Amino acid sequence: MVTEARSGVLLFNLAATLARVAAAFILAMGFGTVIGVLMGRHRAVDRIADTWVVILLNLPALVIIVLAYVWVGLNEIAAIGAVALNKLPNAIVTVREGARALDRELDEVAQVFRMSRWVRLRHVLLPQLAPYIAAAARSGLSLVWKIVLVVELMGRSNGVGFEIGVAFHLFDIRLLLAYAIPFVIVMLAIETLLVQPFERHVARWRFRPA
Amino acid sequence: MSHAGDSGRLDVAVESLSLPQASGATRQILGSIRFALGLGEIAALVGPSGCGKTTLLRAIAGLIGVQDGQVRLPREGRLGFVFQEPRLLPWRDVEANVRLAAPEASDSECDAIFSTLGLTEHRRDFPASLSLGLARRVAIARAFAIRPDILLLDEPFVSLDTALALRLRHELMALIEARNVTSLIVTHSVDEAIVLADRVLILSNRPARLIADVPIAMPRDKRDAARIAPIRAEIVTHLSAN
Repeated sequence: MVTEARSGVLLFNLAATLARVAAAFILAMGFGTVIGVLMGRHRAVDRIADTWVVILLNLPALVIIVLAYVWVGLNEIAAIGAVALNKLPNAIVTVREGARALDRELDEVAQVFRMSRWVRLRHVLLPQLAPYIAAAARSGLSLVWKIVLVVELMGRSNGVGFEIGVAFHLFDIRLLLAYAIPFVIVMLAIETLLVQPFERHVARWRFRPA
Repeated sequence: MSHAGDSGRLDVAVESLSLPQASGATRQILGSIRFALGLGEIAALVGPSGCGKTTLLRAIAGLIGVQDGQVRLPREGRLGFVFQEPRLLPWRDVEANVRLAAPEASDSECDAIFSTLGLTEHRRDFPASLSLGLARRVAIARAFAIRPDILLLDEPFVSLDTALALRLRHELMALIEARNVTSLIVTHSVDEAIVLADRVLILSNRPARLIADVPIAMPRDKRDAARIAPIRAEIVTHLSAN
């Protein structure tokens, strides 16, 4: 572990993986939220897209990854796209539940008081969706972590997944742990330093039992 | 809904309004209801429970469409609405709830409204920590902060204890009179209607028609139980006639 860290390879591979996680996560959450809200609010959109969501939801990650590499090529776009596509239906389904549960009474308040689109989005819509987005983010982040490694193992020449693949071929348990342990630490840090404070912030108005 | 006429004038000319029910059938809720309120006039809307008072208010606010007839609001008139439930944004504090609805309200205006309604100490509170009475006041503050030309109130004092309702009523009247706002108040209490309004509009059973329009000429501070008795009797007769 120390040798890998000293040479800078560990940091480089960790950074490559983190960048892929971040890109795939942002893509999946962004599209997932927009599509989820549209499906939750418009029955026609829901009917058209629902079959595709169910298909994507149940398609094995491996199938999507192989198809992406075969169709798009062995490149970064295919890698990130495949991960995002694996996470996307998950985000859609969760956010759609949130959009279905939106409070019509508050909608009417916004309408009567002629609130601007921005105010409606920022202060009426998003706070109602926040718990659902947070739930999608948490389950999604863990899914993205796992799938990014598989994607790297199969078709990338750097990243934690690639290095674990090398370790597997060499039966080098020390190398595997050298990557697995820092990876777990980074994951825990993101969970406690980013995800949890965000959740606390969006739930600050709730009445908490003492 | 069209916009025309003098600022502060409300013209309602509904012929009929039907709404789809949960069962899938369509049901007529409102029949013929025509009245006009002049600038600063305060009218109370009374009628049997479930007759369509709230529906009429929602139609005036443009929340539901009127199939036959029209509602005329003043040109570019601002509309303040106090819903039956306070309907505050639970994730924003009291002050933000008011300011998000009324981004143009100045600090001094907000201060004045908060102090009239006794909300100054609660500006930073979230709605979940407010009592129903306080939450109602915030809803009233929100409706006034937009400087409304027309104010619609849907049973603003229901399920409050008598003493609190009385105090809130005074605070509300102080605001309405100071700002000369044309107001329409839905209530099921005949006494409340008589104490608050210049006119009492009486609706029939569903589909609601306007069956009487009773003016109350007496000055508001002279309306004690003995003096209002004859008007009260008249209104109760109308209500029980249908």
